[in-house]
Amino acid sequence: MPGRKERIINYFNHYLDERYNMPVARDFIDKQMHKRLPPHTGWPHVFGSLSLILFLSQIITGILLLIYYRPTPEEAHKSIQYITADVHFGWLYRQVHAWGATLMILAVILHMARTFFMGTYKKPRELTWVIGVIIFIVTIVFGFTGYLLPWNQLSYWATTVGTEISGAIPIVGPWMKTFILGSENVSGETLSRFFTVHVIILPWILFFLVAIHLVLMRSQNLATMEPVGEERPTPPECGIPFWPVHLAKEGCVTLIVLGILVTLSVLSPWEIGEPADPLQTPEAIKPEWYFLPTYQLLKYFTGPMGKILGIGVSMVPFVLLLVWPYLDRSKPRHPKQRPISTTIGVAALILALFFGVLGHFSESHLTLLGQTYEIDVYGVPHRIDRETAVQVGEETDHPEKGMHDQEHRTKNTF
Amino acid sequence: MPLSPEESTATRRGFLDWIIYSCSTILGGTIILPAVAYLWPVTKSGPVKVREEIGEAANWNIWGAKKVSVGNKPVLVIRTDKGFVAFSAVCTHLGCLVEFNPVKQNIICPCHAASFDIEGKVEGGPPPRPLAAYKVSEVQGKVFVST
Ligand code: HEM
Ligand code: FES
Repeated sequence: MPGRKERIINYFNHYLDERYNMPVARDFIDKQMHKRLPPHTGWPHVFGSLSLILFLSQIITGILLLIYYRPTPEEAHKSIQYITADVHFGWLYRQVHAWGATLMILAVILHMARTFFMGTYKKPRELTWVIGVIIFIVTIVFGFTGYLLPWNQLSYWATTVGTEISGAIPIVGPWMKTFILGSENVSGETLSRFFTVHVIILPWILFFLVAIHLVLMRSQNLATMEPVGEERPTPPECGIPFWPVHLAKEGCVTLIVLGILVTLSVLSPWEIGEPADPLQTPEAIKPEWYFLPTYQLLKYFTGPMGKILGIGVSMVPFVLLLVWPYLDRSKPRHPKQRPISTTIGVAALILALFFGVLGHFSESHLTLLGQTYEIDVYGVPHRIDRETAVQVGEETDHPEKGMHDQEHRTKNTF
Repeated sequence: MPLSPEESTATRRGFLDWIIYSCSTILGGTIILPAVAYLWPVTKSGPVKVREEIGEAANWNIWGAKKVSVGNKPVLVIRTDKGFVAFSAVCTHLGCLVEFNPVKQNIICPCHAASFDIEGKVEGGPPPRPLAAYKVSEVQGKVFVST
């Protein structure tokens, strides 16, 4: 006599079998679960599914935030304050959403780096890569639009500067800027637009992009390390079973990252900041870390043509990423067998890190080994003599000499 | 020569295809165009000229500055030793609001360390153009800015 549990399961199975072609469905699920991945599949291969888990986390925490969040200039900042101070566990969901955004972008970048260095973007997986790059760009736009939602000083002015950049594109620029902002400057219209894009449009776009990305990945299986055209099918006994081996690794990483998320949320919470004031720009506004390299790069382009040149140059990395599989048509996949693209990849990462660090420290003070340095807009440090508070820094040949001295920061008094 | 049945169906089918494609294009257009127009922001341009009183000349020190909103635009008004000057406070670089720096008697932008002189001309930093200047007038001790 079957137990109660079996009877319930049997009943449902019978119900489905009578109505649908269940053997086909069961076979499909079985094949997917027991799929054999190439033998080198290991820890570096978890970043893709980690990005997916973080996206799910963003959807869940985002929907929770939506219940109390109000997208108007009058109420946005107050509603975030209410979420953090009064709503049960509101602080947790807000923090997990804000930190989740950062970790998601990090996961996507690590995943891109893995696929780049293992040469998986080569034939026949070019489109998987291209869709991946679009996913990366969508994730960044997610971050940009979400950043405005708390409607604080930082988000208001970072959005002003960020959207002004698009205004400098010749001919279509001013038109684009007005279209993005919904008015001439950042306003309630902008908040509504960013809100709609952030919570409805982008989630669905990302959902479909990820779905296509996963279908392509599954139907072609993961790439092996053999050169293009020389792939040998992996004998089933050599492959890594998706379930349980690879899925267990992904489970481990998911748990660790959830731990990191909650730890960051508790130990290093995001501030709510001052409510936005359209008549007062705060000192030294900086964008989120993932915009720092671009932010710093744009500063070196000055003069009448500076803005356009700067935009052109900062778009180059994204265009290169998009068309990379069509530029690099060489056959080898192993990073050691293709020194040129490996070098380009490493150099790009180092450059991004370098400009990011410069951007982070620019326009701030840094105390190192008892010496205080004032770091100018370009990221060049100048030593300050403490007694006299006059800088004696190794003034280089910068044209803006003397712009970075102390009075520069003196607040205006009426 | 009369057309064989195959040939004539082929032509008729081609014609029907053509009709279907054109109709779908027109239908698609009529659905999409209003939506695109709907998304286009309503930027009402209010009165072209605004003239607003912003304070009394008597209690305004030389090298004192004020940031005011005139016709919804942020304006920086400075009393120099030669009289009042007014500029759009929107930095011509990337839209931050500039401040008057009384120590150096110039105008600075907090965002990318630009500086402008007291005539609004770029002294240093990335801005491509000088600050837009506005007219200031003094009538019976009251200061007015016109945009
Ligand atoms: C998919 C569904 C999502 C929904 C429904 C959603 C919803 C929201 C809402 C209502 C806010 C305002 C609350 C707040 O600022 O704390 C917000 C903020 C934010 N969102 Fe999302 N979001 C989603 C996904 C994402 C994703 C995928 C990212 C980034 C990769 C992201 C990044 C952000 C950021 C950076 C903020 C500002 C956080 C802060 O300062 O507190 N969101 N989101
Ligand atoms: S916005 Fe003023 S210097 Fe960049």
